[in-house]
Amino acid sequence: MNNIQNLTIEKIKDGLQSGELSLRELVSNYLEEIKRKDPDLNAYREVFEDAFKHAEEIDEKIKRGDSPRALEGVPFAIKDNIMIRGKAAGASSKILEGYTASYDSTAIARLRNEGAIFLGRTNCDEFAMGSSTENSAYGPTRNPRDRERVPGGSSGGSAVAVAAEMAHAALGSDTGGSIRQPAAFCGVVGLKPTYGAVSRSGLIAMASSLDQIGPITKNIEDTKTIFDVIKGKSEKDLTSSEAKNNSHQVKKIGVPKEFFSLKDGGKEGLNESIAKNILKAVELLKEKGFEIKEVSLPTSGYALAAYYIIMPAEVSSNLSRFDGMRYGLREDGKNLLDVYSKTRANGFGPEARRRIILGTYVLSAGYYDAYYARAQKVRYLIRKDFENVFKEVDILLTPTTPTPAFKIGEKTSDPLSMYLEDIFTVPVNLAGVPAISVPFGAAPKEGKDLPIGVQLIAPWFDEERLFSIGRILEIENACK
Amino acid sequence: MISKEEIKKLAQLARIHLTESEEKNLAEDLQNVLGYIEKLKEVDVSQAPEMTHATEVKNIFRADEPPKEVNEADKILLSGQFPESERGYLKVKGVFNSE
Repeated sequence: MNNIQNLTIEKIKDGLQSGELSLRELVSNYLEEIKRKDPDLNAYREVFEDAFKHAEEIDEKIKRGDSPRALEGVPFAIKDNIMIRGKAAGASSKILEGYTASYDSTAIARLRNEGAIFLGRTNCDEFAMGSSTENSAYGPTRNPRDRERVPGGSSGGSAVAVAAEMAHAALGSDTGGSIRQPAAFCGVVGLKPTYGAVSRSGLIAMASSLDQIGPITKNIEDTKTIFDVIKGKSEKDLTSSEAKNNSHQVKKIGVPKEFFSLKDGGKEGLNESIAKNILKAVELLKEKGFEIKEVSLPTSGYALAAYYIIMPAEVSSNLSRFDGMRYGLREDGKNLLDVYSKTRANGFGPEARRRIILGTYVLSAGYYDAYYARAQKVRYLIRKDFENVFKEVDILLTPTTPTPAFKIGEKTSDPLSMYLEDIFTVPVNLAGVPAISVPFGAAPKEGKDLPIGVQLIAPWFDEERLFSIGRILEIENACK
Repeated sequence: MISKEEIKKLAQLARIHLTESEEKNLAEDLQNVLGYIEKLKEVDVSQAPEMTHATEVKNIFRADEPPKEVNEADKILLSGQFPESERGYLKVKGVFNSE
């Protein structure tokens, strides 16, 4: 197994079936890579000791003649905000220190049922709040392509684990770009499924009307395999639902002019190398016979502003459960109120506190109509924009991020500049549509090639369209 | 401009103790973000309803029964989380005592 780099889920399965692949060896390989690279990269918060034992069990089972299930023996890295029964889960926050998950999240239960192995849990921005993994209470994760740079966030640890061969695949969560942006920064594939396609049960909630769990992988095929396992209705999340039967055919591809001007070949504030690669992707798809059309999402320019009302509002209510009473950190105080406020002061990091205060502000008496109600109306209009545009075209193509990976520390002093990183990804969460980031080309910077991501956006429950166009980009990218 | 008094009030509502310097920094951060959010005023929302749910919502009913018996392992896992306990019960400060 000298090339775990070119392994796919299908190859793992075939290897197990034919007896050519030993999971002990495969898992040891990943554990070796983690030992070698992770002290520097800090992708993992914990590596699970039982992973190897699990691999042995599967090897034995297969030897006895069991046929491999859909994800048999596939080594996964799991974001620290997705619960695995009996394992610590902390959302990279001090306030959850000492907490052990008492049940499996639905996504984990489904992976487990299909034979997945969990290697460990990965670092992220605290409670998934951030775009760089610098907001973790346990130190930043580094980008394997350039250690001076961030891997993106909030699912930075998961993206790095996959990019640096420290796991075959990973799960992340995406509230405003937290799967797609780190995937773009690290040169891997990241899928944010349709809102409701994957159950949120067991995902530590940040903003419940926006959060989705999704896979981070090396290739589209693996993404599809994992998505097919984790998707579907679950009784524990009443917003989850089954996919409707859509036609998956793609003929027309739209480029929203608010994200990228085909005429000018770019956009103000968009990195030049990214612009060049978006044009290349468009040319490639044109050659393949797709019709490319400039379209408009007129309200999308207001998405980030609406997001920074809706998201903190939901954060302030979701995070009120962390009060030091039942689990995690508890500070001492002179009375109950004092215990609450000291626990929350010491347990939450600066960004979590910032968003709780902001959310409390926009929901407080007298401001509701001016902020929250207005933002929800704008959200309605943004959703309408997507409904309208998908009457004209079958899929949308945009950059995933305005810039390639930035330097560690570059944006930490200015929260607003960090928030602007998510300008292309946030509208997708507000509308609830699915989107994928596919690696396509590179931006040369200071002697290093930094990965670029192309974002594809499809109508609700039509992830298949993302995969079909994603494959074309993937093949071309591999040829370079 | 957001005053320090307003931040104090918000911190109290959110049950978070803040230091003086944190109050000052948060007032500035909030001001910046709220400044950015101002642009929402440009949008004509007169015809738009509030989007209160991300998906179409309808009532979903189920019997009010526990999905499964809570077993001993669950109990150990759950009570093991308690920051403080007495005779197997979760211990907290008195709710009605002010001191």
